[in-house]
Amino acid sequence: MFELFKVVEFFPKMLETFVYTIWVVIGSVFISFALAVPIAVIRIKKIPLISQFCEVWLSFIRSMPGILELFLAYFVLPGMLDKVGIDTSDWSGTTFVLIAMVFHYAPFISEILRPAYLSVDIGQHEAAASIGLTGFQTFVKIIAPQTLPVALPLLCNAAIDTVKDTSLLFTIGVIDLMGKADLIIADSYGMSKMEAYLTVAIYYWILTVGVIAIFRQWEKYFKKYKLSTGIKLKS
Amino acid sequence: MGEPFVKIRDIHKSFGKTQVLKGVDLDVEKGDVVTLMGPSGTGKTTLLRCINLLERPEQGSITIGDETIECGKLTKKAMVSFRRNTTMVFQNYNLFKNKTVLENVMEGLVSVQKKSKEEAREIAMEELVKVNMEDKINAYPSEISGGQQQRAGIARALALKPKVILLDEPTSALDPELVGGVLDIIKDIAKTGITMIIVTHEMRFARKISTKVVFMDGGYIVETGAPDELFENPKEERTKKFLEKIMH
Ligand SMILES: Nc1ncnc2c1ncn2[C@@H]1O[C@H](COP(=O)(O)OP(=O)(O)OP(=O)(O)O)[C@@H](O)[C@H]1O
Ligand SMILES: [Mg+2]
Repeated sequence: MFELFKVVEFFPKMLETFVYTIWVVIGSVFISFALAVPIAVIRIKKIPLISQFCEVWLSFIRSMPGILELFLAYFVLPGMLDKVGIDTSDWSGTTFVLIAMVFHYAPFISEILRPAYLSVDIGQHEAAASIGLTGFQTFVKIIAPQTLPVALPLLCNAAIDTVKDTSLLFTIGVIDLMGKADLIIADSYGMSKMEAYLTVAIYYWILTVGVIAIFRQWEKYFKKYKLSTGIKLKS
Repeated sequence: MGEPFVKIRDIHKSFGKTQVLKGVDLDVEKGDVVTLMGPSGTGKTTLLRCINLLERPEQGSITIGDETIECGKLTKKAMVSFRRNTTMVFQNYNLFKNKTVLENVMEGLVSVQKKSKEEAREIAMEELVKVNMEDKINAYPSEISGGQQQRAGIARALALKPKVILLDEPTSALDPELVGGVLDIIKDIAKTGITMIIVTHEMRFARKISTKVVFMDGGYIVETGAPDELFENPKEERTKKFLEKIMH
């Protein structure tokens, strides 16, 4: 039997885990993005060897289920690091989670940034060069601000995927929302499955709606450039 | 007479197997307004882009004022630095889409010439007044007409006070009714004594403003002369043919 008051009861119990999940998402998105920028640059410039390495890396992660990457990071990586003298025994579960996430999303996001960068007209690069800007100034002041608005919708999707990937964490013993739900269910001798999972669903929904709202805000900021030359949508 | 202000020697440029410039020599005096003309595909744009180093010639040298580069051996740094002798006005304007008209003109002053924002704004405003754009300074490029974009593009190129300003068919992408306004502005600028190299198919205009006309064909400069001389009495057969074709 479904009892609504249990959802109300479970809600605050999961709050701490919810906040933890937010931090994992933020950490993963930021580190992945920070790495995705140089990876995209390496791939666009086709820098020998590293760019080929990045292509293989990208193709590898595209084929891998998230849970496999998580297991590799948690169960296989420590052994490999041990061989080169790095002791991982006091690393937290969260560390491995971030490693797995970044391993997946850094090349993935680079593949969002690369076409967005290439969509900026060559004339923009040339105009910047023609007034004497350096390559770096051109990138920061002219190209990146025109790349971001193109990339934002797909970056938003990547962030939402990250949110959902956090539901795998309990498989390596990190208490995420799913894990917390299972603990609560166990506490009630399996009686409140529906309420517990509903609470989890609500939290994921809040998180996703929050992510979308943040990206919408950001997209709105770039609207002033009126970069799009396609059909005008009603606002 | 001493050395010319701009001295271009033996410029070669190929794209893959196609040789576009096959050894171009050109002298430009300070304050000259030079018109480059010639049939489509002869390398006029390529020559301007070589002077601005948007293209890198395989061979040849360029002198502007007291700076000379050997094009064969150029570091990236030397390229960026030499490029600052010139600015370019593009056929399709190429205003920075993420910047307002005013910011477009200020960008080089702030980032390249390291002027303060206030000073840059003052200089930019002066140039924008010259091109009649003072009431559009806060518009983004997508919000203004082609003619207005090109006038802003001219202001952006002028604001940096380059030794030479290069204009590549500045009016050929414009609607016919907008051409006159932009040409008038270029005419005014030509009178200020700035050194200018312009590619244009507006022959009457070219004849009026130029101090020197250069006819290019097939990757070479075929003939150079004062405008009246070159238009009335071209020496070379190819120049004659070209002029006959476009005057009719
Ligand atoms: N980036 C490039 N890659 C390959 N070929 C090029 C490139 N740029 C120019 N060309 C070729 O070089 C030749 C000269 O081109 P350019 O644009 O300089 O001619 P142009 O004299 O300016 O002609 P138009 O009057 O049509 O503008 C053309 O045959 C063109 O196809
Ligand atoms: Mg051309």
